[in-house]
Amino acid sequence: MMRAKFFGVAALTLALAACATPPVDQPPSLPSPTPPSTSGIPAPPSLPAPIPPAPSSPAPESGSGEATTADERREVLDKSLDDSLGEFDKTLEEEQRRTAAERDARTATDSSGAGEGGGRAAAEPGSREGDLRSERGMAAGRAGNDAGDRQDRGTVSGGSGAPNRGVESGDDDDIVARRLRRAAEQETDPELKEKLWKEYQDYKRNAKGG
Amino acid sequence: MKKLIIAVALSLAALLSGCVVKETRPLTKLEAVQAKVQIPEVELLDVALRHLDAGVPAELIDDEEALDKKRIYPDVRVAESRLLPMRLRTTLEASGQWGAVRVVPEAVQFVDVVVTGRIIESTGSRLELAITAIDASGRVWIKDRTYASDADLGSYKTDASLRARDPFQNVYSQIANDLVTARDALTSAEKRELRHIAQLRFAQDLDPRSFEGYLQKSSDGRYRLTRLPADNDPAVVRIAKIRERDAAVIDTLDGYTQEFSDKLFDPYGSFRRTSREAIEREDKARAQAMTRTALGAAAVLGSIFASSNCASTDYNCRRIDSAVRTAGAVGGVAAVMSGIQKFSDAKVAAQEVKELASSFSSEAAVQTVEVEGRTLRLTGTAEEQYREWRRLLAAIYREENLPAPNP
Repeated sequence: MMRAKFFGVAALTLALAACATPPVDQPPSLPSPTPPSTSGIPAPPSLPAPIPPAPSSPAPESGSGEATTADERREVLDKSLDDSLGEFDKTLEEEQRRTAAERDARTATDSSGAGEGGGRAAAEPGSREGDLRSERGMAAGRAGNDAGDRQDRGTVSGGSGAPNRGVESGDDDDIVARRLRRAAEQETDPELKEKLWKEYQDYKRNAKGG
Repeated sequence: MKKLIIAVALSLAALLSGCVVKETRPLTKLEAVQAKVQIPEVELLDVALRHLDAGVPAELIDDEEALDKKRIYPDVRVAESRLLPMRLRTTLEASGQWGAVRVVPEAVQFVDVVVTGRIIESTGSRLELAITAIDASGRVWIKDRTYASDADLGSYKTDASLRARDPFQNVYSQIANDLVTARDALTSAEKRELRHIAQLRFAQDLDPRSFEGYLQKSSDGRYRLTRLPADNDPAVVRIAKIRERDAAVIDTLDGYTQEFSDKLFDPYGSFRRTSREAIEREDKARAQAMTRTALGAAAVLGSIFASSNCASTDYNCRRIDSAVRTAGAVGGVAAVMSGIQKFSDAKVAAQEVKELASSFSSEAAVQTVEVEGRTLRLTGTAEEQYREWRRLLAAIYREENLPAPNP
């Protein structure tokens, strides 16, 4: 009887042992991602709330369900980012196009702001990495806008530049007169051009008289 | 007798004071210093000009009469908070000293140099601004410095001259020149570092864990560059893409303000010109009124209370004395009456200024509501997008830094 009990206990122990987890070979749990090296740098005030520890699977992004490796998941996330950027580009392009169209409509009826526009155009320096201008990165999106953008009008080639009537040489122009003259020379719209030349001449007359 | 003569002289002076013409000398025209050499692109700093603080005193906000006395018209000031930075923007751009110069709302940060300011006084005849400029590292370039000028009357002569040169161009030119002076005090290395700091602060805002350790913020609040990320770092490439969109947002916001400024250019110009004329009339009438009233009153009092030096039996002297007293009193009363009339003229001119402001306000208010609405809509959309991008960048960071599973 004792022997039977012993065998029963032994069999039960063996059966339970089969269900047990090996103590060493498997890590206890997936560690959280290694934090980036810190050097006691205080976080900037605008930092968002701390990111919670990474789950064992990536954040539920669209299309990431089929990705199994970290690289695949990252590619999916990168694509999501690009898609999101693309969507935002469309929103911005639409907004910029609307603004440009409104400005063009207004400029067509009121050309009085052209002198200032000439000044702006003359002052536009070239683009470079990281600056505020979006012309390079958004080149495709802005292509439709540029034609109507008064800011860029000063750089449009094709204006004759030569006044067709008795306009002074401009040798003694001050900075304002130079800007007006440059705007007039570069303007391609004949009506606007005429008005700019008139403004230039009026200004010169005032400068001399005043 | 002598005192009486003085009283008569005072009454005459009071009457004649209205004939004095205040001579306004033409202002010396100050120009912004132009860049003489090509500035290397890596040292060309971008400038963000924030909308100005309208400068309406909080304690007077509901006291229309007090505001009128100070010639502060809140709706006009709100419009000016956008219009005046546009004038400064034009000046900075035309100088060729800077990279992109944009007029932006408060929400825009992380630009190489940010200029903020407050309107202290703005009428058709005088402009006074308090300006502060701080760079991306937190270095203060200009701290609440006051810039003021009377209007250059030459600019008010014709529409063309008004368009060619702002009446307060001296203010903008002086600010521009001070900014150049502050920038020129930096070494080339500091200017380059500044651009990196602006970019890294932007990067840290969006992806703090990927860009941790590149900047150090010292106890004085200044950011210093500790190291630079590799150009081909994927995180840098991603941030560069977002930075382009950020630039596009800023351009668009600036475009709204440009549009706003263009629409109001002529109405604002004529408002300033006509209000300056009315202000001049008001100031002149008020000054004359004060002088005439004071001198007239003095003449009357002098005529009444001045003691007579005539002997009681000297009838001739007493007759002359009486005549002089009467003349002094009559002249003094006339001067006081004329002073009162001048006060009335001043009131009429003040009312005219108010009506001009009211007329421009109603025109500007429509545009202000429109530009504010569009600005809020776009900044709201952009902020929502940035939240989404921050989430994606955080997720990407996690994937990139996830430890490889054990074999």
